[in-house]
Amino acid sequence: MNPLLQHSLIATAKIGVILLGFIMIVATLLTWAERKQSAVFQHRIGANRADIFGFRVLGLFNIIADGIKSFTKEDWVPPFGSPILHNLAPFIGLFGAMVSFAVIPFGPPIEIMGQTITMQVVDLNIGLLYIVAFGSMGVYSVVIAGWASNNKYALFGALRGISQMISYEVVLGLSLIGVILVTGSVRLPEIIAWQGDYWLNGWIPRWGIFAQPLAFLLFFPAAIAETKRTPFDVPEGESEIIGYNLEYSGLKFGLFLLGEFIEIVVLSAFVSVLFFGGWHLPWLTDEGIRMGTLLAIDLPEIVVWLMRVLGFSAKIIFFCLLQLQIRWTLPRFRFDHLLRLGWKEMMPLALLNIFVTAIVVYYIG
Amino acid sequence: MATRFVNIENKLPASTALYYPAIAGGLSVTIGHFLKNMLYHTIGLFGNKGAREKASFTLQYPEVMRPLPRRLRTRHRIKVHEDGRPKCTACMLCETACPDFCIYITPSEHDDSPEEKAPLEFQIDLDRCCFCGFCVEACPKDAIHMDTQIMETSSDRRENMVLRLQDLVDPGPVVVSGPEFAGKDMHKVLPHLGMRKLDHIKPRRIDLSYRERQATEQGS
Repeated sequence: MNPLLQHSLIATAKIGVILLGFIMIVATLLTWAERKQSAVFQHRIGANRADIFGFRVLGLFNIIADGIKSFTKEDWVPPFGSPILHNLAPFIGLFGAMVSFAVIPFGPPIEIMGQTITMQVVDLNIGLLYIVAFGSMGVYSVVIAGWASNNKYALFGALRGISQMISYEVVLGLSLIGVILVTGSVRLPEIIAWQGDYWLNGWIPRWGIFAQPLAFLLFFPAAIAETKRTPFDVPEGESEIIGYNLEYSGLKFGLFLLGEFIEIVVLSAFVSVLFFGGWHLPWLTDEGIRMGTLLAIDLPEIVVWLMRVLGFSAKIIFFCLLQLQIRWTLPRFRFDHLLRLGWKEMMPLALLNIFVTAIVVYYIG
Repeated sequence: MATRFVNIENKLPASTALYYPAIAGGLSVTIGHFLKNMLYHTIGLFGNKGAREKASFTLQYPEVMRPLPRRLRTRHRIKVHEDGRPKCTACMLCETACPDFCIYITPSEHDDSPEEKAPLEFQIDLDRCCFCGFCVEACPKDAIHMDTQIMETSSDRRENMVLRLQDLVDPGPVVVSGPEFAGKDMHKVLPHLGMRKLDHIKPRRIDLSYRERQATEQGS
């Protein structure tokens, strides 16, 4: 077979499996999970009305009902705005979120028919920067949506969104520098490989969270601020204030929402890769389970591979659910508090983290 | 007025000022509720009804309805005599009292009735009605009541929101409280006795705006 054709076939298959088979399904289920999870928090039942032939299946059909609703609703483009930009805005946000998945390694490379297949679509040597760069595409989505609507409330929402997202992008980038210093790479497989090691005679896995705890505590809230969800949801504030997506309806409004949920999955995958060992599971080596001198179980290669891929998926889903829980637990920040937190509290801490990490890495690592 | 500056000591405890301990506390509260409710839901899956009720406080509304207070003002009805004639004598007091101008009575003379007057048609536009109950208070014959316990009066057509005499006399398959309905099937207590051409009357035009209608009232 033509090697070029073969490569493109493999890449297409990876895009299909990862994007359609995992990301889209998880993002779609998250819309259901958010409603159900919050309902259980609040002693409610949650969405359960949609049924097919009387079967309700825990309200899962509400996803289909939501889809049909947003497809069949009128797609209104404000005649007083800028129609081209108005149509473009939701797709930019969705594009930035979806494309980020290209560099996330979902598992260790596997050999199929004598060919090594990496579990990521492209193995970029600047994978970390790539995700951060495409994550900031969301700013364009917000600003274009607010501007093209030609509506003062949408514009105000967009302005709030821009100032929030750009402020927190600073914290986001600075907190990642600590991780880059420690792992010595911006290539995601290398960052994961560095985290495969152990400390204290193999009792503590050398994960990012243990190497850079402050970076995690700064990165995670900043990343939630990037996804524009509670407690940082002032750009939209769907319960009270009007946001940048005011003039959107139907499917394009739904795309903003879907983009938000895909961003949650991206963020969860990114956090798992940077701080929670990626596809590494504690005490699971290539040969099997090795727990110091206590435990040694040999496992076949394919089982280890499967456990790692499933473990990474479980980590992603855990962080997705954690973000949903944070959304339903915390109240919204007041806007000046939010900017104060970003610039005056989190950014100095991020700089301090870089400073201390640099000194420690220089003298020890 | 002089401006006074007041220094308010608004020191948060360290656990709150650092955010993370407070956030962890909040998350532990919600996850506690989550786990407890999921436990009840899981027990409920095996058929334990009490556990299901513990897991959620909410009523599944269309299937389960909260008992309504007896005095709640709900959809109107017009009471009837023993023989089925409406008690209304078309005196127009309710139409006059109505602040929303949603009652339209077409009076008629009655051939063989003690009351001489009777409504040929009695319309209530529920789109306009604010459920104030003034019509009930105004009625000298105690003919109009708002105790049908019907609250679901929505429709996708404006015409369907206009109640006619027949709808008012027969509120439909709803258990109506009140001594005069004891043991009576509401579908059978129907009025046609002595009424003329009830089914042929077209609903009166009801698209008068509030101001127009007010002006007409005051002018006449």
